[in-house]
Amino acid sequence: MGELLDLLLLMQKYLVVILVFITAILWYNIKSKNKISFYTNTTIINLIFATSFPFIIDIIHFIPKNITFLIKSILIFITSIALFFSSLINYKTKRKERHKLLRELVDKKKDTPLKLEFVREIIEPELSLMKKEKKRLEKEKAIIKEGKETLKKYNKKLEKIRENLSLEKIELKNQEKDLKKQKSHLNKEEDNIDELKDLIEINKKKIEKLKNKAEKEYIEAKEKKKNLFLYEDELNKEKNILELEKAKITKEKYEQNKYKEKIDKENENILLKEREIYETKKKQKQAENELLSLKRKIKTLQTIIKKHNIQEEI
Amino acid sequence: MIQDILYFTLYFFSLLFITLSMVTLAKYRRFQDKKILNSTNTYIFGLLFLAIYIFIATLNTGKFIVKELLINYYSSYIGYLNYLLIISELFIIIFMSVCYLITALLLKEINN
Repeated sequence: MGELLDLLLLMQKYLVVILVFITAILWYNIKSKNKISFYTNTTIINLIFATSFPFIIDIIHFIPKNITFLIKSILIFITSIALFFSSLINYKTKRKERHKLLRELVDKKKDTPLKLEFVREIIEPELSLMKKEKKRLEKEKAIIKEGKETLKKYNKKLEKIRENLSLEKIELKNQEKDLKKQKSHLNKEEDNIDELKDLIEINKKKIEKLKNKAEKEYIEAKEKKKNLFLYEDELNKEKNILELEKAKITKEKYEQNKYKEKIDKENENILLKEREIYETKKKQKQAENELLSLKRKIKTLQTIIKKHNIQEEI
Repeated sequence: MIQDILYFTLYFFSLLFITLSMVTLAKYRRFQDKKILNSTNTYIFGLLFLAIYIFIATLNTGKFIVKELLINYYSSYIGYLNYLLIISELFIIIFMSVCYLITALLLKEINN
């Protein structure tokens, strides 16, 4: 790879030198024929081509590399300086010349040959062209005048139409305003309708929910009703049973009442007997009390008697 | 060291003058005829290639500055510079000489 690169570099150096020589020969041929145009600046081109000459030194092998490099860099420096100054000087001189020429062209007092030539070569043909143009324009002007008259007629008609149109325009504007108002009103109504629609939709949803709920409740109520009917049947049955039992109970009650009456009578008899017993008991107690009092009297009498007997003995 | 500084200054000023001359030549075009504008553009293009070559040579000769100031980047700088040198030696000078040759051919056509 390194060898190939070295070979390529060497070939490139020779190729550059060949190209530089061809360029130099071509330029020499052009210059030697003395056919160079007025605008070609030979010094600048010479110097530009001279910038490529330092690269010729690269292929001269008998000069040491250090010296080659030094010569090359010095030559490049010299040619670049020369090129810069020559281009700058040329540019400045050309600019001054151009400036001077422009000044002379503008100056009214001097009739310089350049100014005269300028007038002869450029302004006169332009003037002739302008004259031709003027004639053409005059013709066109005449045509335009005719056209203008016809246009005036048309304009009058157009003005009438315009007035009508302006009236129609005003009407249309009014209509447009009305339409705009109606539109805004409609928009508002549309908004209201939309709001109502939304509300209706919300209500619809609510109604649907309620409907579903009611249906569910209806189904539940139906089931409850069925259950109630069944319960009612059962109740009726129980009622019948209870009525039968009631009849039995009334019979029993009647019998019990009869029995109660008997018992009451017996109770009364018992109470009477109890009263009699109580009275007898009272009488017994009174008798006992009398007996006790009698006993006491007897005792007292016995004591008195005893006391009396003792005293008698004494 | 002095030799390096000398080469660096030579190439640096060469680059500066070539760039300035390119600018003045570009400005100078407005005083030239339309016929030779193509050849003028071509040699300005050739000068641009020469300026690139001198710029790379300036970088090559100014490596002692990198060695002094940015020693850490010196090895990578040298690696990058070698690629640039190979490119400049292989292509840029050839492009420049081709541009000059085209200029000469265009001038021959104009002046015939």
